[in-house]
Amino acid sequence: MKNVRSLLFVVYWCVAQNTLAQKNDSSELLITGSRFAYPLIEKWIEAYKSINPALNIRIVSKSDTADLIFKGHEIPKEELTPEWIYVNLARYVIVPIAHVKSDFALHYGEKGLDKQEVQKLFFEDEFKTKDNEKSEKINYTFYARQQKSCIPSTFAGYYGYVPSDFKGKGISGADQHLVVAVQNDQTAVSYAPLNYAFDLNKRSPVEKISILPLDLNNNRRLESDEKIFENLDTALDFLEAEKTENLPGAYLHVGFPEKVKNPNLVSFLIWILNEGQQYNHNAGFLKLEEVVVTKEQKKLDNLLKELNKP
Amino acid sequence: MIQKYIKKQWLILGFIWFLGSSWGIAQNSLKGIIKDNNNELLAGATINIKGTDEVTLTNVSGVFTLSTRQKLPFTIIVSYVGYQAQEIDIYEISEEPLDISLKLDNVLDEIVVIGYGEQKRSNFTGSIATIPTELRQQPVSSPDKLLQGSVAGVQVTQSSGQPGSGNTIRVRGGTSINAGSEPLYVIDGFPIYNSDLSTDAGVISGAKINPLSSFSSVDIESIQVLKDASATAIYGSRGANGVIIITTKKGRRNESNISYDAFYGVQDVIRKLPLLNAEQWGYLKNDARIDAGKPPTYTQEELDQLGEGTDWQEEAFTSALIQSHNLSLSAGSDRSNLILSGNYYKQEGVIIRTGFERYSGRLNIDHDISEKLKVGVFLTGSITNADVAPNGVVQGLLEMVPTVPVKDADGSYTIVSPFETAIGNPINSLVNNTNETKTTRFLLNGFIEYEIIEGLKAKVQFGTDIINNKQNRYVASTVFEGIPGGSASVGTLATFGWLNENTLNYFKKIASRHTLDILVGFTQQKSSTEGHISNASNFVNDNSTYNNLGAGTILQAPASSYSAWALRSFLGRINYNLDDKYFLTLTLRADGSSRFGSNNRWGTFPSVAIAWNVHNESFLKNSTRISNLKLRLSSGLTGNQEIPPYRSLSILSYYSSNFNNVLFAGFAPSSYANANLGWEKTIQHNLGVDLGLFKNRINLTLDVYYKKTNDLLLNIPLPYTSGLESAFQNYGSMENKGIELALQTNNIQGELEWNTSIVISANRNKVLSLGPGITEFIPINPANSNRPSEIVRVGEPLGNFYMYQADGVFQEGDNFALSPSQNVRPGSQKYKDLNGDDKVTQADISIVGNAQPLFIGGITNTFRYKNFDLTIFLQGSFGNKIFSNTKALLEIGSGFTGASATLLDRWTPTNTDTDVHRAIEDPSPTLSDRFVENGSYLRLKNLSLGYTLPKELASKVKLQNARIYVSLQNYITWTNYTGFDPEVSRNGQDNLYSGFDYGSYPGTKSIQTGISLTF
Repeated sequence: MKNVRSLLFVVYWCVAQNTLAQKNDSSELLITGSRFAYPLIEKWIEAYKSINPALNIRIVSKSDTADLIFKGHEIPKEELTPEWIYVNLARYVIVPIAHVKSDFALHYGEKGLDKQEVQKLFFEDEFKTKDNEKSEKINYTFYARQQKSCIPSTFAGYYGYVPSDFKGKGISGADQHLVVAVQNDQTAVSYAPLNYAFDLNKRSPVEKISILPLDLNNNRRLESDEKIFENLDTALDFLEAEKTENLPGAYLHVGFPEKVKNPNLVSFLIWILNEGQQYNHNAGFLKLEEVVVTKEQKKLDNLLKELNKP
Repeated sequence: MIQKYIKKQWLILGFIWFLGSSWGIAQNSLKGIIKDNNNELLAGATINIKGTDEVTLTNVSGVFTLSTRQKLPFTIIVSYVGYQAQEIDIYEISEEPLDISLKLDNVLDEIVVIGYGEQKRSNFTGSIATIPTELRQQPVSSPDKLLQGSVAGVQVTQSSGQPGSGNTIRVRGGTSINAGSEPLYVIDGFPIYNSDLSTDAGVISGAKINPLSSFSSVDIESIQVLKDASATAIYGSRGANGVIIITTKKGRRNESNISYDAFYGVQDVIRKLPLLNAEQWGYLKNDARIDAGKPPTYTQEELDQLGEGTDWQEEAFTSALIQSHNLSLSAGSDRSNLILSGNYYKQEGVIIRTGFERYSGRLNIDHDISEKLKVGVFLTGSITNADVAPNGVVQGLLEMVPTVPVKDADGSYTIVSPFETAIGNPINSLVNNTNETKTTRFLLNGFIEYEIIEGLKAKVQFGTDIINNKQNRYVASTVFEGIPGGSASVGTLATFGWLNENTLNYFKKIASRHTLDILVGFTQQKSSTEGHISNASNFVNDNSTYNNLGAGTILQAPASSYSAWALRSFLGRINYNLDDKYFLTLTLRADGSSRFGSNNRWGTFPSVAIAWNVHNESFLKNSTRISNLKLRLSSGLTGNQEIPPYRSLSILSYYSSNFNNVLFAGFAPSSYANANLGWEKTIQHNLGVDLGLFKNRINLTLDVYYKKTNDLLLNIPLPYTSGLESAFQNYGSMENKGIELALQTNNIQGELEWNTSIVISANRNKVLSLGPGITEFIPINPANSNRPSEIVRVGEPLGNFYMYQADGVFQEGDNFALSPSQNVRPGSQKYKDLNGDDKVTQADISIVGNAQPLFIGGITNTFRYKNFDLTIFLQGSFGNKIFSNTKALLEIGSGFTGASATLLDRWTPTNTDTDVHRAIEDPSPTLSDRFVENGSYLRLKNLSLGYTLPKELASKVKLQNARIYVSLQNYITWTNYTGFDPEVSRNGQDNLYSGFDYGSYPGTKSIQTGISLTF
């Protein structure tokens, strides 16, 4: 009898814990998705709460209870969840990085990398460039993530590869850990989105990291105005103003079921498309182009109209 | 009291929470999947936390789980012999598994799937060989064909060129005389003895269809051949002839793709035999008639008009299409993976109206219900249809007289040759007869595995193998053999087998130096077969063919049969590893088989093996020249049970007799009971060395072995007074000894890569005894029962051809007693008088050659340059002899049948300087070594040129991988053999009549183009 009572108590305790964990009403929005975007999402949440304090918005780790799922890589059409809506909310780019004291950074910090060199560096066994005799003597260690996620998928996909094609030394962890790995190895080379490559407070590359300049107009030589990665704001302004060809990047987008019944969710996203864009630069992201804002706004307006119908 | 109770409950809960939370915080479970640079899964790869003893291995799906309390971040080292080790820094444990790709580093050693488990080859103490990837991709109809020339010590002989037909496989020589000598196949864990009788209902005529042709070679992930006793003893009573482990492809975790593989090609006969045309044959006919004192058949004017006549080979042989399409869907999550594939294969025969077709599907599923509980299912289903060339058709094509047309003037098929030997029109037979076999097969095997405590896993496996064969034969009333009224036969053979295996496996690493891997198990397997045959003849017309037996006016007695066998076994194996330097394997299996007598039903089969990885010793570890050195020594006992069921019992058989036109039925003994009938026991010793040089750019594996088989299952002839013909008894012994060498070299590395693989092996077989008082016996040759041509003799190998030795032709003044024939005169065949008694009698018959090769081998060169790959695979057999009954019959020179072009040089009074006898109206040949030819050959087995689309380009069209290739199969053969193909064995898997060619379906060469796409 005692054992039965003990068992019942344990069962009750487990059920109670589980119940507490479940969401229940439209005054709460749960968000999950790509972790590299969390700093920006947190800024949006903080600002939106200041004008809409009744809405409880928070980030959760599991996607099965979330209302909104943020992703940073382009999802192939066939993998899109049917009857879901996807809305672009920001843009980001990925840059090659190296330890600031590495021979690689010293050499290519001045010379820059063109598209073919990036491909060979990250995806081929041996790094051979057109002046390969010199470059082959450069000692470097390339780091890449072993898991598939937004940043590696976007980076590899831009060059026609998949994440499993990355060569070099692997790490298991988040994208931010690639920056840590580079900081810890004076021969290290890797890649990172701007918000991880830059110190968001100082607006300069994070400690021990050199962001390698790229041949952004793809003319196979580095021009002075292409050395934009010394300051984050300079880089963001340039990238929003100029068309670039040798720079992997994608939209940060959010997905949710089109049968959503929570108008607060839609209002929050409409706010991000408009007022929320002012926080993108601060978090290391690019603002959306006007044409994209208009397109996404229309999508959400229609949805909101449907939800507000009596 | 209540307070005390509540307090106690909280204490318990608090303790549970503490345990759970502390475990949850400190215990991390790192998961991942490991592949090579070709996306092949690597089973047995090692994952070690750097600086610690914590280590795990990937399973057969390349998946690993490493549970650790190591503080983050830490580094793991992923290594696999033959691949470059990779270090990975672990900053956090993600739910998503690691996706690790290792770069190939010239492979000597590889992971192997062994009996009831898997093991790193570097730790394996036995002798094992794996088919290289580049040879596994050859376009063939069944997986066993891939073994030819690719694995040392395995002899593969194609029985016939008939599409879908079987092969004879011998691993380290045949160990038996009358029992089966085929190796045991283990397909996804299900043991199968590949007897070609299992797909033969007994109705059709012609080459038997290979049961393994039910399986598509495209579905194969790996093929391992276990050769020595240590490797095969875990299969005990079925291990003596070697074990071939076939693993089919599986889906990959967290990966989904669709792949399509196809090839399309054209086949032709390797060669045609040179025969006399109509005019030449007319002269021969006249000569034979004149020699017999008869008037010639043709006048000179008629001879001049005969011309080329009918080329019967040309009429029957055709360019034939071959195609294969395979579509597979692979999907995986972090806990499950599945693969679903469908295959269509069609091979038209190079003889008209023959061919083979297969529809097959496969579903493999693995699912982890939890970290401890895993389940899986392997299912293969197939339907095969074959139109078989009946026995006699090919010989008919050769012996049909060229002056006979295919069709008469009225357009109907000629029925029969009008000359003395009645040969039916083979084209008529091929076109109007039905001779088909259809097989449906399902092989299902499912398992559930539970990790009871860390390192201790229990696995239960259930499987079934269902084979249904239906054969139809109809000989039309317009065909010579069917006159009058035609004849029809239908037959079915249904086999149902089931398997249950239960194993416990314990793996423990002790104090970082000792590794213990213990396996114990209990298995049981049963198979039952039911068959029936019905025949009728003399039909009103041919319209219903075999579909209306009741319409035949002559009904023959139907036949039905049932047989079953069962096997129950206990098994155990201990693998011990000290410091990765010293290895010990102990294996024991006890089998109880229903096939044997009550006094000998159970057999016990032990083995022991040791290995020393010398390279891991400190004195060699840093050697710049030697990168791998392992010595292996094994010894053990294995068995063979492959005789038909019930041979230990006294069997009563049905007999009928006709007395005064009344049929009386009765039963009489057809075999004696033998309660002592037991296993053939083979003791085998093996010494092997694995050597890698210069960072494994040169890898060599060398094995020498000795096998002795005792208590042979001999079908002993009984005295006629017994009323019985023969009975199985355990008598006699036989030995096989040999040497095997496998050499792999990486000749050029870099942008241009060149690898070479050479396998070569030599086996020597000898009969040691045949029981008390018996020194030899002459088995009856099924193809020529009057003149046996082979002998089994103590001190000699199996496969000895036993006949006269030809010695040219008689000339005027010779001793005409030097021939066993009558009417000898100048131009007759002359034979050697071996015993010097100045005459040739049966006492002068001797062993004139042997069907077993002195050595066999294969050499593969693989080149890769940028996205191009080129594989050149040569395979050969050397020193073996072939007895060609075809040649014997074509050289008769009787003028009754078609004849070999050799007879153009026949002896005539004006052409005496020749070794070809004169034309003579003698309808049967005297067998001699004239018809025993050197069967050695070297063959361009496969030449394949491929191009893989660059990934950048492939990804633009949403492809992960795309390869196109063109392939030549059997395109060039260097041989002195004058028959269709030196790769021939008319009598298939029969141990006593190997190397025998008699009207065999000709071998083919083909050119194919193929494509392989992964989406």
